[in-house]
Amino acid sequence: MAIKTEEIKKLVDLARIEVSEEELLSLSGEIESILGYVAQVQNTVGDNDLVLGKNNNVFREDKPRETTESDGVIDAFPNKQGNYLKVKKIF
Amino acid sequence: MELKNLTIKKARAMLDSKELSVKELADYYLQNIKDKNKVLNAYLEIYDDILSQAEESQKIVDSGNSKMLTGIPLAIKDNILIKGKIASSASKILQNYRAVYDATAISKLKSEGVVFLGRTNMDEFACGGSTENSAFGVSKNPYDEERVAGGSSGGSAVAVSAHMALASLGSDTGGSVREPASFCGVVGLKPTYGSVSRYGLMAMGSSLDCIGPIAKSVEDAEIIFDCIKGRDTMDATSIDQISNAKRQIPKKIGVPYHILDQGGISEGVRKNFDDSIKKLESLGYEIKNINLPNIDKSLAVYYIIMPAEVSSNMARYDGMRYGLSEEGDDLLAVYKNTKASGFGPEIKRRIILGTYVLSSGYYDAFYNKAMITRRVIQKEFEDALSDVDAILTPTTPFPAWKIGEKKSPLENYLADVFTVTANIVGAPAISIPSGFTHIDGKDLPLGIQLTSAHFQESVLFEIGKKFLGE
Repeated sequence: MAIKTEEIKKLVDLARIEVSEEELLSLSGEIESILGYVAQVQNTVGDNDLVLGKNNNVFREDKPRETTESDGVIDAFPNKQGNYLKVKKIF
Repeated sequence: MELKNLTIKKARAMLDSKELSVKELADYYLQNIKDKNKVLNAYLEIYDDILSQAEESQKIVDSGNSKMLTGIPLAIKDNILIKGKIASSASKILQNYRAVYDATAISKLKSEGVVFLGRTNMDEFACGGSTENSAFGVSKNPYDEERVAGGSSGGSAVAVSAHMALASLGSDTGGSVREPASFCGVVGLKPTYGSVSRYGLMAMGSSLDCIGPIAKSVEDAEIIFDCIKGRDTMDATSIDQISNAKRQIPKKIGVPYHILDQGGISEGVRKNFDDSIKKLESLGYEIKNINLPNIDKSLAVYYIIMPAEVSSNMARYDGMRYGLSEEGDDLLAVYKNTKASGFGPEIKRRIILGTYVLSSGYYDAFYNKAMITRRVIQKEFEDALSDVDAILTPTTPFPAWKIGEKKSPLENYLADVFTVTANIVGAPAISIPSGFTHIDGKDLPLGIQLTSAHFQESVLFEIGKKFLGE
């Protein structure tokens, strides 16, 4: 299966990352060979129902508990004003 | 006494009998670090508070209240959080990130009075099998410095192998504890999925990730596992060990010969494996040829599910709340610029691959088919392990390769062919040193891998100890 560089470009945009033209070219070759290999799962004989399996929910009591100290969290903000995290405008 | 041959139990005895102080023990490893780390690059950072940690541990020893791990010097993989210390996952995006809380495995070790020596090199965000994907240089194999140490927990394996720590913690998503352990001639355990809390472990593939010990002996790995295991309210996927007191002593070991005969395995590995089987037979184990019809698809399943989870987990490193943040004209540009300069090529590759297999047009053909195949393989494993006590394979199809030798990503991925299955199934697996293969005038270590049923770590320990004569 051939992967066009335009298709890789679209995935790069969807993933909100950025790659150079050079990276784009090498990536399309690499992704193509990896997908060629992993496509063998398509030969598995099995049922969709299998996927549902034995998963179960895990709950915890809804009560207050100790949380991470906020000082270190605020210190780690790349951009801040006072104790507020500062981000570029969203709308 | 030659400290080189120390195990945790021997060190414990020497510390408690005052034959050795905690500081003297730490100094031994620090001297080795000083002598070797420049070349081997096992550690990214040596902590500056080792002396005060040692003093605290010594107080516990002196009070006569020492626990099994009090004063034991350990190395910790750079993706496990220790409060107040940098944890970078060997990525430029977290180069200066300081942890604001302890991982649960770390709190448990702290409560025993462990001495943390430093944080060890790894493939960026645990993505790789050689530490060649670290943003801070490759770790070298102590047996041949031209070769890789394995990965992604390469630094943790080198630290133990080259006597730069008594034991270490790594993480294993597709073999990242077992493969470097086998390349460096030490023991590596991937516990049952969920048996060790992942709170404070940076997520890579959340349905696969496990924290595991790397150690000089099977008993040491068991001691650390016993300390860090258990249900944790901070990790909903964690679970207490299901008691296996009634389990009988393991006798029967299954070998899926059909996958060994498919090719791709080096001659040296095959010969060592056959010798290991003879040794196990001479120890009284019955070896049974077993058939796992879909196990050859494990690697394909892994390289679909894992990148899907990586692409989801890496989305959090967006330059907003912590880590690197690159300027841009608008919010989207900040995200893109941050990831472009912060992530290395393998991370970008896996993000794109994961985005592809999860995109609506390809979801059914890839992700969904991989999930179905995963269930099929799980069922085959369960069936096989109802008849045998453990399944045996080599840990890797070949020994450590030369740095830079493997050119394409796919070539690198093939090293994981035997290890990924345990992560897909969720079962525990251990790599045990099984001897050497002689290449280019050097002896390169090899390992065998034992996998048992969920929560049957005790089976792995029992067979492993017998194999190593512990």
